[in-house]
Amino acid sequence: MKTRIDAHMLIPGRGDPIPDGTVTFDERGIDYVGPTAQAPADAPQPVAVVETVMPGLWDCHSHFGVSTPEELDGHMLSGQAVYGSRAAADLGRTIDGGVTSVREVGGVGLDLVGEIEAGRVRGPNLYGAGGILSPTAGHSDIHSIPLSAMDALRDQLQFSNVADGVPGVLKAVRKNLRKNAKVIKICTSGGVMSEVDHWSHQQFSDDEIRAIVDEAARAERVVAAHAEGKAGIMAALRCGVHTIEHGDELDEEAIVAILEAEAMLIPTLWITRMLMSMPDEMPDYAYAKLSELAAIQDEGLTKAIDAGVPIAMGTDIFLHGDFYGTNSREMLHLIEVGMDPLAAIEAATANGPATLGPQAPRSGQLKDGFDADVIAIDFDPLTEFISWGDPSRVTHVWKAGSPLKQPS
Amino acid sequence: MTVRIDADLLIPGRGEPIDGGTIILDGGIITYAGSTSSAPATPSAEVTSVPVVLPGLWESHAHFDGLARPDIVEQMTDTVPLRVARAVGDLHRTLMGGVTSAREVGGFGIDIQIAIAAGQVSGPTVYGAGKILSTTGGHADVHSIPLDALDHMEHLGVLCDGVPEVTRAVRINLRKNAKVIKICASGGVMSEVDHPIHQQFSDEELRAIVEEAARAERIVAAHCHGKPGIMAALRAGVKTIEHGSFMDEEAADLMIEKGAIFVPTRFVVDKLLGMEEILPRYAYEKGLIVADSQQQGMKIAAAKGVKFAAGTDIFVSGDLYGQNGAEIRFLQDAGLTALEAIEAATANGPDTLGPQAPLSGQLKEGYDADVIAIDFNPLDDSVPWGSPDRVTHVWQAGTAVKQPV
Repeated sequence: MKTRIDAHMLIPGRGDPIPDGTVTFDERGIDYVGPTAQAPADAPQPVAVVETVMPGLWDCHSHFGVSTPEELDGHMLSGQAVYGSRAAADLGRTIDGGVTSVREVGGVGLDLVGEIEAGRVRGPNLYGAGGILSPTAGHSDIHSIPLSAMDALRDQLQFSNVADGVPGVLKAVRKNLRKNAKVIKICTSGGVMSEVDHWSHQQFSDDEIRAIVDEAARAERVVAAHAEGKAGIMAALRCGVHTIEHGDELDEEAIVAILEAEAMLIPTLWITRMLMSMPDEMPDYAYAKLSELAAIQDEGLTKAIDAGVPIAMGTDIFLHGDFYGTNSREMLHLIEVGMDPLAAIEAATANGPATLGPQAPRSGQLKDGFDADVIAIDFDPLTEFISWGDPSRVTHVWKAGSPLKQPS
Repeated sequence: MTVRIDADLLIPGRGEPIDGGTIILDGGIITYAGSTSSAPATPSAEVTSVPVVLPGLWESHAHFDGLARPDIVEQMTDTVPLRVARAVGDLHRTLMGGVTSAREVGGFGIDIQIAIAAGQVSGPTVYGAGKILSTTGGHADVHSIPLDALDHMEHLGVLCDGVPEVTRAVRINLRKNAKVIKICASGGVMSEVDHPIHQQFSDEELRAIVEEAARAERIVAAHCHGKPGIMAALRAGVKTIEHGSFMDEEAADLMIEKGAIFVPTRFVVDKLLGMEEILPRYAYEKGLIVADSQQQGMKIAAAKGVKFAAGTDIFVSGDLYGQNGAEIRFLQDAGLTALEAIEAATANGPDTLGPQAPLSGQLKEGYDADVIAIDFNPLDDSVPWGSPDRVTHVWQAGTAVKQPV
């Protein structure tokens, strides 16, 4: 049965907005997208007349079932049932914030795909990576846990997939593919939350990165690289990585390298601002490293935006609770560093699927034949973009044509 | 004891058939194969007259795995003794269907062969591969079972990643006297989350496997559906391509250039398509993906003159075993002549073992005395292939193991 939405403004995701627009869809996909005045004669009555209708949002850098603010200083050993329970709640919050698709780059969400698809867990379409590959001592290793205990704790540390050497990284990629991961996530630089490594250092040798990229490519998956410093960014790009996550230290050479590699950038401004606002909860070592990055991140990103680097929206959200649902605030941050409001929406919708390479679904746009993932908001995001990030401003959410959120 | 078989039609396996032919078996080998008129006198021989005599068939893609249903998760739920008990029955059925030799590419046959050779178990001579080399997450992995648990199960595969591990995996099989090494160079149908088109194993891993096997004079057989895996396997020196569902002209040319043998196993594809109710859903859907393309691939390969061997890939215990001859019919459907299809199921069988090939699969002096008689003329009518009751006589190592009562 077809659903019709009439809107004061229809934003298709890519292309010009349509004033007084209509979209119709059912569980098979989107049908008509165009001016209300030209809607087909057999279209049903609208179930809603809204301020703005647009594609469901894509968060291309998310994590489920990883941590809480209280655990930031701890060792993250809560156990699988706890992580699963947190993830289920946060997946629902994600939908409430208008995000209908997530690329989960590490976490337990991958394990819940069957539950989401069966309707037992309310949540977005989830394209998961499984465990994050890093070398021993790298960003997804937990440095304070004895090395000899790491293997025994692999169920509690599902977001972590530590591997060394070409044979080791082949097996690590294959473990994720075995769980039907749709993307492979690796660390080519150090990070903030990891204790003893540094964001400016390259992690993994070029041979290891290339082996990972080639193995993923055999299964038609692309690789996403956590790369904060320039050394890690350049290594990732020359070895065929498809998406650079964070990319804090961008200069002209790095920007040219992204463009030549036809790669994409997911800046994750959201997490920087969020964690900078929590100096008391953050471990000292982490806060110090974060401050270094916060000082340089915006400037490089502004240059990247000016240079036309393809950007997709991602938050790096990983703390359980009401943070989930505020994902759309990332668009506000992108606008603050120089992106046009409509381009920010494109980054959060039409550009999302491309972060999965060959695994990309037909999604992220209001377009004939695309997935019926549609949201309505009660403001004009081209002028009132300050309202991004408030889940209460997302009034309706449909996923695969089914209503998951409606006004009460 | 000397055995003499006089036949209206003698099909040697390779070469021209003979009207009015005679086979003499002595001491486990063929001592004469030729026209009856030139045959030596055999006053003390046990004499049998049959319409058609030919070499015992070779099954080039066998699994004696004892699975009761087409679901590889059963390897966890069904114990080894239970599976082996089923496999013993399947080995006997195979022999009764006229198959006197089997290249087993994964299964328990390699272990049971010791009992077959000693006459304790009835079955074809098994030339086994041992465990199937697969990547973690690859076609011989059971994806729904946690990896740690898989380590404690006896299953068809050995999971190996990286050059050191694949080398060791080859050696683990050589240690069991494997006569061929079997690998998965693509995803498959019966495995849950991988894709038949995708290549499995890097080019470097494939080369390492082929090289280690070659040091022990073994060749490598590669399961591949998709073209990336076919091409990578051939470039790495793999000598037999199993299934080859997305074979095209370029791949067929490379097969010929490399002297590789095509074992399409159309039989299993045909049977799986009729098993929709009992197959896991993912397997049925993947079977549909490969089925049409594979038929096309076989025709292209036949037209190009690629060398074929007959294999069925039967892996579900029961009456399918013994129907192995049906693959001959499928090869004729793809464009091989009746004689070429029979050659694929007899003389070409040993070639799928490369240097390990025994003198077998042909009615020829000095060859193993594995012989069958059938009650139809396969040059006129291929329909009876696959019906075990149309195989009237089976001799194995010169001894009659099946004959009319």
